[in-house]
Amino acid sequence: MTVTLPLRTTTLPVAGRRRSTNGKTVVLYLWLPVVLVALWWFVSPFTATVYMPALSTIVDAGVTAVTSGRLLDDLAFSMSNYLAGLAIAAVLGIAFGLVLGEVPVLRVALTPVLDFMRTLPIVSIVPMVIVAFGLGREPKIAVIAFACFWPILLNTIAGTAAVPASVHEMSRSYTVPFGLRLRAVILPGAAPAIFTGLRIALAAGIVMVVVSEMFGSTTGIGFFILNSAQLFRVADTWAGALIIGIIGYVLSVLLGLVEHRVLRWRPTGTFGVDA
Amino acid sequence: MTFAVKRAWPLQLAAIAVVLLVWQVLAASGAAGTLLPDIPATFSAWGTLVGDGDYWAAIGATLLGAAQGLILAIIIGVPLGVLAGTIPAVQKSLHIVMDFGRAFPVIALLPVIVLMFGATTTGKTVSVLLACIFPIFVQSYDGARTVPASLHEMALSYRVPAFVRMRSIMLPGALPAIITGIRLAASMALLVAVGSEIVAGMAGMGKQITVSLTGAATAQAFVYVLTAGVLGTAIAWLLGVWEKSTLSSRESSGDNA
Repeated sequence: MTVTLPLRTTTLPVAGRRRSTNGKTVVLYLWLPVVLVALWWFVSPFTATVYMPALSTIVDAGVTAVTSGRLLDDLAFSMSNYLAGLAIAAVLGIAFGLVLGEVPVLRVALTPVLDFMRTLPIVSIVPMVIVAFGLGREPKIAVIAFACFWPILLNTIAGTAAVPASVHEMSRSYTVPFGLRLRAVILPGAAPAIFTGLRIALAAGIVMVVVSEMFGSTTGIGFFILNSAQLFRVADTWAGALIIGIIGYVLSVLLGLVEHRVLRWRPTGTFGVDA
Repeated sequence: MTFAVKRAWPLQLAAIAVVLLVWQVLAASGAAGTLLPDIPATFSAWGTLVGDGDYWAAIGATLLGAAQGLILAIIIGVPLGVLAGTIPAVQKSLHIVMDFGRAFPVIALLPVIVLMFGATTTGKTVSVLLACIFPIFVQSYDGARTVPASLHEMALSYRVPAFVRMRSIMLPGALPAIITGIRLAASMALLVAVGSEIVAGMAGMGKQITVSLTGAATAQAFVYVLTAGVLGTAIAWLLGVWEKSTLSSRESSGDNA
């Protein structure tokens, strides 16, 4: 369980004109990342080694790889696997999580099994799955989905089980039909935890994308990264790694926006199980 | 929970039995192809491996890289995180940096790390360090922010030296969150250690998995997967016990931070 402790509330800048407040907030959020990137950009030419090229060299390599179309095919392959795996994991994880969250007997019975799966380093199954089912797309989607499934499942269970019993009992005693109960009671109650699960799944899935393509593949961003390192095109390796990092970050920001919209009725706070 | 399940263990044993049964049926029917060895094959392979020095050497090599990286990440990440938590100016702007760090798959840099440090324990340690430093930093930072501002300000106004302030006020206040961070980072450490061994062939359980598969010893490979799972569960359990004990000692001492 995540330890949820009350955070010290940040004092918001006293609102003057709305526009200046927004400008100030943007600056508050951005100054450190901008300074860090600028430092890297201006210092790295002087500290550059074969293995850690200057940031400008990395950006050049990335731009060349993308505009030549070489990297685009790899990215399309990786991203379609990633999204397919995530989608499968989200559907199955939320569905099974709702069932286990609603049925305490099942939940208690399966706790040791779930605890084992939660802590199993799932990368270890990648070679077995690829040796058994080949270098194609489907085994990769399967391992991505498998890795993303557990955090979504565990958080959905925790979120569903945390809906107060009184709320459940009231909706039962008013004989609210199951469909409505699911839509109006269970899902909204579990939603914050489900989003926590999806966020963890995003990060877990991208690791599986990279590993499944480094272990057995001739396409994909993972292959691009590994292959460029083997050819000593180290700037390409860094560019590939940064691009996959940026994609991961952008997806987590997008998820945050969706979460903010879906949960706007709710005070902010964290909840969930880390896996 | 609407009702308490009275005795959990018979149910849990039954569930484990069902999982084993499904495993055996899947393996014996060939529905899972060559993915799953059946239960007798797996446990006979396990029995053989337990008497084999290579098995224990692989476990040791994985744990060594994971532990070294984790410990370095704690040594670097905890002070930085606690320090950052006391500086209001960086709080908003750290969001983007931390989110990027968490979303970044360190394993993508593994080929570069291997070029720099070789497929060695050092290389493994560096990748574990890079992967673990963010969860530890983030939790230490969050933990430091839960220390009431008044305590920190009081220490400032009494001119308590910075080092003492850190050690005696900020660190104890942040400790439960830091331990949560260490627990999260520990499973990350094991995952990155095994992942590095699979991708780059450093000695350890991950390498044993790929070596076993090359020799078509599927059962042996599966034993290493299960071993990694057992180790992961044991580590998480131990750290969970530690985490709970620090939380309860705080509650009993009446500390409400």
